[in-house]
Amino acid sequence: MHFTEDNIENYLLGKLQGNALQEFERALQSNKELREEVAFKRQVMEAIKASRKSDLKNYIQEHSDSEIKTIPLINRNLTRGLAIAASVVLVAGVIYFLIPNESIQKINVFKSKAKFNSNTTDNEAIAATEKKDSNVEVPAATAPLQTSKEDTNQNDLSDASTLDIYKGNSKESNSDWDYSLDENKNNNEHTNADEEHMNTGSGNENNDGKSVSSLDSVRHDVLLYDTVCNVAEVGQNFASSKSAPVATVTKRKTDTEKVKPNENTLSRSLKKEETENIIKVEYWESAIHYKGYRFFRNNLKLYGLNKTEKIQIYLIDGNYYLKVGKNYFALMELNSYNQFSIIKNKEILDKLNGN
Amino acid sequence: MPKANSFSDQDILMRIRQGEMKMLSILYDRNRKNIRSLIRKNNGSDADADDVLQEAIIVVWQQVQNKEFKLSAKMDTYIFSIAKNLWLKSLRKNKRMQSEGDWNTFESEATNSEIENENTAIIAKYVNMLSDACRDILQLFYFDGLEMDEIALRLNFANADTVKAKKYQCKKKLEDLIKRDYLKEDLI
Repeated sequence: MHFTEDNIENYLLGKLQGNALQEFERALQSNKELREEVAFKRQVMEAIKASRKSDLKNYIQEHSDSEIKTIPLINRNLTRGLAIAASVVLVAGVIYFLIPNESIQKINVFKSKAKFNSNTTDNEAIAATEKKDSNVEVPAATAPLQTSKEDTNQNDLSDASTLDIYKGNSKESNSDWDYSLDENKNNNEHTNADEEHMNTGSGNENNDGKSVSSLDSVRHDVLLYDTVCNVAEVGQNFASSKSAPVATVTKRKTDTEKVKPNENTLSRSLKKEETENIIKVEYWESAIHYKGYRFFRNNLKLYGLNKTEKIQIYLIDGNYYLKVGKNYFALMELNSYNQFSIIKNKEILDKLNGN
Repeated sequence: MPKANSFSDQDILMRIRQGEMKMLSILYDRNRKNIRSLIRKNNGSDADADDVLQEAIIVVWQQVQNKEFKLSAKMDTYIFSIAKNLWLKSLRKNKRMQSEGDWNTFESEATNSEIENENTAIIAKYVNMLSDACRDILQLFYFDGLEMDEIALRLNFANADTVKAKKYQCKKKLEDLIKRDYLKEDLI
C-alpha cells in the first residue's frame, strides 16, 4: 500500500489514530523503504526544531544583559561587615579605656600562663612566649612587599628560597600593590586595629609592644606567591595575548633585599587604563584545603591550585574565564569565595579556543 | 528596552503568543539571578545555570504557543520549577554516566545519541540555507506548533492554504538540498 507525504507527516506528528495508525504501523514493520523514509523525515523534522531552538537561544544571548547586577548585594554584605567590624572595635575601645592598663597586662600574662601551663612570673611568661614565637610557623601572608621581576623563572615556587617568610617585626612596606595581610606591623602604638587583633585572636600585644600570641596553634591561609596577569580580550587582540605568558611577575622581597629607587612598584608604572586589563593573581594555600577562588576588584585569589600550573585569564562579553591547563573555568566577580566551575558550554569554549 | 519587571505575566503570555521574541530576553534577565543561585547550590556552575535557564524559557515559549496553555502559578515560579527539573534530569544523567555499572549501557546510548545529534546538526545547516520565509514557516509549524491560519496571520500570508502550499514547497526544497549531498540512509 502506498502512503502519502501527509500520512507520514501525520504519523510523525502523532496525528494518526485508530485503524489508520494500526495500518501504518503494520506497513512500517514490513516495508523497509517506508521505514527509511519515515526515519529520514523524522531527522528533517528534528533538525528544523533544532534550528528554531538554536535561533531562540541565540536571540536570548544577544539580547540579554551580559552581567548580573550584584552590586547591591555586595554593598549590603559590605555594610554588614563594616558594621560588625565597627562594633568589635568600639567594644574593644570601651574595654581598653575602662580597664586599667595594669589589669590588661595581667590578663595577657594570665592567658600566657594558662596556655603554657607554667608557674613562671609575668616576665618569664612573656619571654617564654617570645621564644615560642620565634619557632612558630608564621603565615607567608605576613610576608613583606615584592619587587617587580621580568624573569618569571626567578619566581619558581618550588624553590623555597624565593618564598620569603616574614618573621618578627622588621617588615617594611612601601608598595601600593602589597596585598599581603599585614597583621604584625611594627607598631608600638596601641591602635584600634591592635585592639581588634586582641579580640579576634590574630595576635596580642601588651603595653610594651611585645607580641603575646595566644592562638599560635591556629593555622592561617598562606599566601604562596602573587603575580599579575594580562587579560586576553577575545575578539580583539586575542592572538597576541593568547600566546603571551604571564606578563609581569612580582616577586616577594626578602628581608635583606632593598628596593632600588628605579624599581618602582607595578601600580605606579601602569596607567589607569592599563591596570583595568590586568588582574592581580594570588596563589593561596588554604588551611582547610579549600579549593576555589575569590575574584573582586581585579584581584584574583586562587586556593588549592598547583602553584606551578600556568594560568590565563580571558574576557568575553564582559565575563572573565580562567584557563588552567586545558580547562576553562568561569570567574564570577563577587566578593565571596567560589568553587571552580568548569566551562562546558560549547559556544563559549569555541570562543575561548579562538574558533 | 523596557524593564524586565514592567510586564505582567498576562502581558508576557499574550506577547509570546504574538511571537514577540523580546519576551525571551526579558524572562531570561529577570530569572537569571535566581536560577544561578539554585544551580550553584546544586553542584552547578553559572554557565550551567545559563544553559538551563535558556532551555526552560524555550520550553515555556513552546508551551505558551498552545492556546490551551494556562499559567497556574506565577511565570517566574513556573520557570524556576522547569529549570529545577531540567537540572535534576541533567544531574541524574551525569550520575548515570559516572556509574561504573551502567557504563557500557550508557556508552552505547551516548554513541547513538551523538550520531543522531550529528545528523541533526548537518540537516540544520540546510535549514539555514532556505529563504527566511521558508525557514519561518517550517520552524513555526514544527517547533512552535502553530496552525496554518496562525502562521498566515503571523507572517502576513493571504490565508492558511497559501501557507500550506508554501510549506510543502519549502519542505521539499529542504529535502532535495539534503539529498543532493547525502544519501538518505547516511542520515538515519
